Amino acid sequence: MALYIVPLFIILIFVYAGFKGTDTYGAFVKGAKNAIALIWDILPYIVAILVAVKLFEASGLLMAICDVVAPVFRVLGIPSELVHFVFLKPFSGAGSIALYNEIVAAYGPDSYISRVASIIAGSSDTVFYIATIYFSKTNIKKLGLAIPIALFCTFFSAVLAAWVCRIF
Amino acid sequence: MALIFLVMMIASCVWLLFQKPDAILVTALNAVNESLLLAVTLAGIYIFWMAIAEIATRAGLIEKIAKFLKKPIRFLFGKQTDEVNSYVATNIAANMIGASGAATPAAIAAIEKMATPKQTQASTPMIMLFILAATSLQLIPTTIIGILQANGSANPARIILPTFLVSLASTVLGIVLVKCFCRERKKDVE
Repeated sequence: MALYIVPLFIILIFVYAGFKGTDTYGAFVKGAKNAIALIWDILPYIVAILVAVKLFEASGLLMAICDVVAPVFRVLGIPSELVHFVFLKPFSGAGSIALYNEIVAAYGPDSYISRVASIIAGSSDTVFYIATIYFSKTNIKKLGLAIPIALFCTFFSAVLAAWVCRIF
Repeated sequence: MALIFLVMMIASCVWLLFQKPDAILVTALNAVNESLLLAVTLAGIYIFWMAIAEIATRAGLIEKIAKFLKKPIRFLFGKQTDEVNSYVATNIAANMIGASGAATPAAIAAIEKMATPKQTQASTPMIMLFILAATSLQLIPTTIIGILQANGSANPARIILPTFLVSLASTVLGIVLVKCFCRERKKDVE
């Protein structure tokens, strides 16, 4: 069933666009152009995060931190291999994609750890980045409970992901 | 982020200095190389999906989905002007089909219209919009599928359903928390 979702989604969009008389070729090219600009923009962030994380890993400090928080994560069911990923996720979108790719490459794309990481990566967005961007055209500085609630939900989805992947 | 980066860099380099000083530069340059490879993979994924999203946007699919969201939005955001409602609907619909290029400007406009120039405290509807975006309810996690595929997954599509379910659960939790804890704050805004 899952195999058909993506192809059907693509077909649906083309058929709908064709029906509406949209210039699909022009739109496709424009979208591709925007994507290239986006990659160009996020590449420096990817480099920065990967350099920092790789050095952190090589120094052994990452392992040390993972060992410290591992018991807490174990109680909640989140694999301790994902500690740094869970913590980085709310701060950096590009960085967490880089880290996600690392994890998938290291543990294999169909492993339990990669599946949990996939769900974590797909079920929440970069909390602090959104908070900055969304309120950027106002004078609003006090976000009240917005950030704590968002972080709690992000963490909740990590816990849930670890449980769901044992079933799926 | 700047502080985290600084602390990580200093701590790692100092630590490595005492263990294997030659590893610092090797590790750093390898990481840069890896970033470039990842950028190529990501470029492939983004170019295709943003092209598709652009077609969906121009064909008016976002407005179409937005129509179905009218009632839920009324429930979540209370009474708002038509303009705000349409920005909010656009944001949610665009996020659902993964057209973040259309989603972000709509959200910025929605929050701008909801705010008064002197307002410094976020109102409940603003927090609601923020939470909906932060707990992302994307129908198809295109980047995730792309990266799984690039790493040779046997069935990348397998992740779609569980991701959607977890995402839905965290979104619902977010809505409930906003409804429970942000309600009384409405007064000090108006």
